[in-house]
Formats: sequence, C-alpha cells, structure tokens
Amino acid sequence: MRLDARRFRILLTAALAVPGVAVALITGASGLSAWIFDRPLVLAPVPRNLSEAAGNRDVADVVVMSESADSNEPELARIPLRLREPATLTPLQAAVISERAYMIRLVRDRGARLDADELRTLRCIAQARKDRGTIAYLTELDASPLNCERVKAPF
Amino acid sequence: MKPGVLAWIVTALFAIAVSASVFRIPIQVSDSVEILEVVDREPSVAAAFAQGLHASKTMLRPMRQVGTRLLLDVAHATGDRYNAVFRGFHAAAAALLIALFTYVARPRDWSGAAALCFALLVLTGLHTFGGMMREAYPINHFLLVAIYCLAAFAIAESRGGVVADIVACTLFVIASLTLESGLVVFGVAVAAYVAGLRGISRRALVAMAILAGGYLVLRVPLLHMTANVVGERQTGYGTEMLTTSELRARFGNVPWLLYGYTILCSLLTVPLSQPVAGQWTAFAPWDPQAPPLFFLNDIGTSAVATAVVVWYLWRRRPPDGRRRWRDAAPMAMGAVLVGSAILSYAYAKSEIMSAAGVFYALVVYLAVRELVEVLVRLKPDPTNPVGSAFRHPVGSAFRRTIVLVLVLFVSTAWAWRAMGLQYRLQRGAFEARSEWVLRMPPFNPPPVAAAEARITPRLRDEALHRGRTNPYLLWPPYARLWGEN
Repeated sequence: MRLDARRFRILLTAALAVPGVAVALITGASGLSAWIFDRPLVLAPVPRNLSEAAGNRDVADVVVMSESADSNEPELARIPLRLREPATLTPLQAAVISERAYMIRLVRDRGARLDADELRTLRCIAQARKDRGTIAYLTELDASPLNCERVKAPF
Repeated sequence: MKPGVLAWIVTALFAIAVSASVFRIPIQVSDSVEILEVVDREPSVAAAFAQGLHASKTMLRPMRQVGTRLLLDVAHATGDRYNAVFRGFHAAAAALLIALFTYVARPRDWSGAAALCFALLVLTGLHTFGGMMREAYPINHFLLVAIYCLAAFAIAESRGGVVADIVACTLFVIASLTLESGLVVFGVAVAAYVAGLRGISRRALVAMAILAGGYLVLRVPLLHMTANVVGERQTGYGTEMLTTSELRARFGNVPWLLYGYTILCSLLTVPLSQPVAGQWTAFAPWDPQAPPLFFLNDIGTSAVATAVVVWYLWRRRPPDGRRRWRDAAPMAMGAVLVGSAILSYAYAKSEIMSAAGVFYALVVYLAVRELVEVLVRLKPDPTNPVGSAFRHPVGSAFRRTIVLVLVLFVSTAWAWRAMGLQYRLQRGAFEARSEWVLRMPPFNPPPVAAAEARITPRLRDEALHRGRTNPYLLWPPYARLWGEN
C-alpha cells in the first residue's frame, strides 16, 4: 500500500482522533448507563455480598447490606488485593483479610457474633497475614497464647 | 458527517461521561457538612453572603455561601434531595466546562476535529482536571473559576458590546468573590485585549481594574483580612509532603524560599504533570508496589504535548508573521498560569492550577491542529522559513509511517490518562461514601454536634444509598497504573 499524501492525511487525522473517539464512546456509553440505571459499565464494580464488602474495605456497603443480610453467613468473596482466588468467608473473616481493624469493629457492630472459636480463627488469619493492626485489635479481645494447629484457614 | 458535528458528538460523550461520574459522588463529609449546616441556619441569601464575608481571616469567598444557600433552597423545595441538587449542579457545571471548551476551540475542518479529540483527552487526562471533579466543598469553586475564565475568553472573542462588557465585569466580580484565584479572570480579559481581541472593551477593562481595587479595599481595610502565611496548610517540598508544623519549623524564618519554590512548582505542574502539590512524587523512593509506568506515562505525555506547544508558540502566523505566543489563547494561558501560581504562593494545590490546565489544553488543541496542517502540507512553509523543525513537508513513506506510529502512540497514552479520570471519579465516590461511616461516630467525632445537625442525618442516608462502587474489586489492579494503591 502506497502511503501517498492523501492517504497520509487521512491516516494522520485518524491516528490523532481514534483514541479520543474510543474513550468518548466507552466512557460515554458507561456514563449513559450511569445516568439511566445508576450503573456505570466500566471501572465501577460493586460487592456482591457482605463478605465481599468487608474484605474490600467497603464500610458503606457493610452498613447498607447488613440491614438486610445475615452478618454471620459465610459467602463466596472476591478480594483481589489480598486473595488470588475467591474464597468462602464470613464477614468477620473477610474483615480480617482486609487488614483494617475498623472493618472488624464495624462488622461486629453490625451484628456479627464473635465466639471463642471464631476469634481464634480470626487471630490465626491475622497472624498468617502478619498484619500488625488487626493482630493488635484482636489481641485486645483475647491475649491468650495462640494455637493455630487445628484451625482451618478459609483460604 | 461534517467535522463540526463529529466534534460536538465527541464533546457530548465526554460531557456525559464526566458528569455522570461526578453526579454519582455523594456529598462528602469533610469541607461540606459543616458549611451546609451553618448556611442552612442562615435566614436568607444576603445573610449567607454576610456570613461568608466574615467566615475566615485569610479567605474571602462569600459566593461559596451564596451558592450553597441557593442550592439548599432548591433542595428544600424538591423534598430535601440534597445530593441530587448539589451533585446535579456539579455535574452540570462539569458538562458546561467541556462544552465551553469546544465552543471556544471551534473546530472547522477534519484537522481541527481530530485535534479536538486529542485535546479533550488532554483536558480530562490532566491531573489538574480531576481536582475540579472529584471533590466539592460542597460546591467545587475551582470548577466555577475555570468556567468563568473560559467564559470571559469566549466573550473576548465575541463581537462585544455593552452586554458583553457587563457580563464580563459581572463574571469577574462573581469569580473574585468565589475564590482568590478568580482574580485571574481579569488576567484573561487583559491578555485577550493585548492579543487583539475586542469582545471585552477597554472601558470594561478599566471597570474591572476599579473592581479589583474595590476587592482589595474590601479585603484589607474593611474586613482586616490577612494573607496566607507559612504553615497554614501542608504542601510539598522536594520529594516530601510537609506538615504544617514541619513547614513552620523549616521555613518560619525564610518564608520567601517556600513561596518561591511553591510558585515555581505551580508553574511547572501544568506543562509537566510534576510536581504534584509541590511534591516531586515521581522521584520519591522506589515503591515496588507502584510501577513507574504511571509516572513515565504522565510525564512523557505531558512533555510531548508541551514540546508541541513550545514549537507552536515560536511559529509565525501566516497573515502578518507575528509569533504565535502573541495570539489570544497562549496569552490567556500565560496569564492564568502565572496568576494562579502567584496566588498559590503559600501552598501548592493542583486544584488552584485547574483553570490554567484548561487553557493549556486549549493551546494544545491549537498547536496540534497546526502541527497536522504542517505535517500534511505538500509545499514548504514560506511564513516560517527559518528555525522550524517542520519547514519542509514530510515526504517519504518511511517518515510518514514513523509519524503515524508516534502520533498514535502519544494519543493512546493520553487516552489512558483520560480513562484514569473515570477511575479516580469512581474512587472518589467510594471514598466520599466511606467518609459517612469512618468520619462519624463511633470512629470519629461528628463534624457537627448532634444537636445542631439538622440535615446531616438525611445527607448520610442519601450518601450511603448512592454511588455504589468499589475500586478494590478491580482486577487487574489498574489503580497502580493510575498512580493509586
């Protein structure tokens, strides 16, 4: 194909414009979807359940979802920043995996039960993740020596 | 399809995209709830204006209170739909800015339309643009000032007349009482006049100068306001972000050093995308979690765009051989850039430079449009015979192929930056929504005492039920490629 002056002009104009047009089409369609359905098409994923919200630091969704969902129910959660694959977790376990102590506190405030077995599991998860903040928070609740031998880590 | 139609379709899509993401961001707790509660207790717009006159010893921004009060009145009239009204206003302002940009650019041919597509990527991809969209206090006055500046420029380009003069002066008054950097509207008007535009007459410029004097009289002798001093807000220095106490300790005795540094950094941040708020983030210690691709892309794309702008400014325009830097848009860009940088002497902030970023994108549009014309020209350019890198046409197929690849590469890299804006706005929605839990009891003291919080419960309820999104669920983690963790 000969790149003569006329073809060069067309291709140069296209090379300059196409990325802009592509962004306009992708984000414009996403924006229209957001305006009409309150649901953008790109870059706006939402948690599917309480555990996923807790695992991804989504305090607002934890508050909203816990009004209608069981705060103790284990559910399949995607936590891309922390886990390579989705795992079945209780909201409290997901909160520990988020490595945010405030999230554990919030999930408890929203009705999650924390019995001795669950607390031991949480402490073992925190220990495995070596996260100082959650370890310190859970140690305040139970400072006894920790034995994780028979604790099945949920991931 | 005509080039102008394509340009306006692309503009509309950009406006829809940005405004939709802006609309989803809830009213934030920080810098919003307190002023909303205070202004809501004021009995009238005039009382809100008076309250704004005395709200701070360093900031004269009564139009912030006025705007807040007017929007609160609308919200009350529509069933206390605060988020719909405030975020709707912000979204509409965002769309207006993008539409004004295209109106001022006025692409007439395919080169112009293509250059506009590129310039819209620059406009929305610049870090200074995000600051106008991501937050509101509860109105984003940086966005309003950018609109006022662009509107003043559009008036200067018009045929003028008494109405144009009155509107220009009114814009100046509103802008200067919205934000200190609103004073640069005067700079835009003067620059446009010096460059030869007569839409704003000399008479109007004199009136604006008198109004600017009145502003100073109001500020200093009447309200006894003081200037910002070292350590009022944190700002970057070198590769660090210094706290207010660190600033006082280090620059308390040599404030001019910090002021000079901050002004210089503000001047550089628009054309180079570094430093950000005075901090050379690209040169901070290596973080294995954050690949340098983000900085490379930001600095590289800005360097290329700025190089094209510099080339353009040095060229001579065909009719009279005058250098391009003496044209209206470059002069206005210079006025806004220098004016905004000087006004941000005490602390650097990307938002303060946002109006300059808009004019930078406008000059990028003009420069790229001219570059396309030069690249596809068949004959040597008689107006720019010496010193031009492109005085001869790009002739061989090999060179043309190289040019095409380079243009596509740079344009795509800017497209990536523009997509980053969408990510940042979604993240902004996530963070603003999270604030309504983490900045409230039991995690933190409430922004307003419970007894005085008339509208806060409603604001919280609205915020929790809008703009659902979670950036941490994105995979692969694009955030790192857009400079966030």
